Amino acid sequence: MNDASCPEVEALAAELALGSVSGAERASALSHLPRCPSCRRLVDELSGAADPLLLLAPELEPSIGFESRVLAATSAAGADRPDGPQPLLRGDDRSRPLGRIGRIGRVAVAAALVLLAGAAGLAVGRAIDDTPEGVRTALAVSASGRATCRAFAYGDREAWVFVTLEAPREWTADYRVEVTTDGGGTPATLGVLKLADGGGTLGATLDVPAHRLRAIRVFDGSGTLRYEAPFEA
Amino acid sequence: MRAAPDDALLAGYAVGDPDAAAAFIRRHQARVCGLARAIVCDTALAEDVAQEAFLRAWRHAPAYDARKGTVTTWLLTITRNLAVDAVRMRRPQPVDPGVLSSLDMAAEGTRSSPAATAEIQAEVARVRMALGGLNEGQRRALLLAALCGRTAKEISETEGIPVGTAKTRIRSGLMKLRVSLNPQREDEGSE
Repeated sequence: MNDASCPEVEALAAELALGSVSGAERASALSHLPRCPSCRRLVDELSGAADPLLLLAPELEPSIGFESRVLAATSAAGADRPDGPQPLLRGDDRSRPLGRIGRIGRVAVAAALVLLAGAAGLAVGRAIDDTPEGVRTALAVSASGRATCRAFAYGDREAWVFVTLEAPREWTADYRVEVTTDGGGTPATLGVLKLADGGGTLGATLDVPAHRLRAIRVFDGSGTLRYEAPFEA
Repeated sequence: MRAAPDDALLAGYAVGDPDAAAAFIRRHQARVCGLARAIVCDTALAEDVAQEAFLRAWRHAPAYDARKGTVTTWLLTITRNLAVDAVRMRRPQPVDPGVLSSLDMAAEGTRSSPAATAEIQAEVARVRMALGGLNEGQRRALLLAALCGRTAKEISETEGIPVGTAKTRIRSGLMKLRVSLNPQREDEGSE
């Protein structure tokens, strides 16, 4: 297979961006791109215009059970690849957060319980072990053992941070969530996590890479620190 | 969960959070299935493609780069590539007449999905407005390529035009769209 020339790639750039080139022509053009910043930039820019067109596709609700099939396939794929992304936690695992909460948190819960022995009020956790490469995690369990706060973060340039709080259904409150980074400085506020119906989630992006995150801290409405957990080193 | 940002749901899906996974799938399944159906012209195959698209998203979530586009367009790009591969493994399929008529609806606007975020609804409106600046030939060529996975040769056959004309419409249309979506770039876009 010969690499395409710049004029050939430029002529095909729009079709490449739209994904409408096939076979040897596509392979030839794509093999040219890694070595040609100019053509790569052109295709990237045209892709930036072409990709939003996909939003215009007519919507189609899938058949009943589609969501369950995808979740099952995801879990099966995760079980086949223990070093890959995490398989999904099963519902019965989640209902017993201090028993079996799945592969993500099993080691961590044991460690957190050790840390929490004798603690009152403030929940202090630790990082969740046994996670995929690039994903940093932290876990805190309340002193009563009735609430679990988990955080996940990843991203080389900017961190995606996702926080979940599971607690008894009767607990309803707003919590302010912040993240500390290495090197000190003012903690970055992620936002407000609203706890209702037994759970709450908060997701946000921070302008620091995930590897610089040190710990997650959760404050109640009175400003009292309720949960704190370090991300794994 | 509906209010959670797409990137947060994707992150939660990637690390095995079942609530985030379910919310992510629920939010995007109609768009993913719809795009797959438009390309493969077969509802059952479209669902297979859609399922594989979600699996790919789960596997490759750490590779998602927010600077290059939204989670939705990233997921739809994965879907399109899988659907196009699925179609090309089969005999060439005629364009579904229903899909052809839906191209006009796509350009003019259809109902908004209740699951669509305000960000996506705004992006859809912006793209429709930009498409409105193209002539009909350019618009149809772009939509046949983007939403139906058709090559220039297939578009030429569908539209009854020479291949060179189909290529020109695709290229000039996308160049003009790029300018419309990125107003700083004013040096290109004329047909």
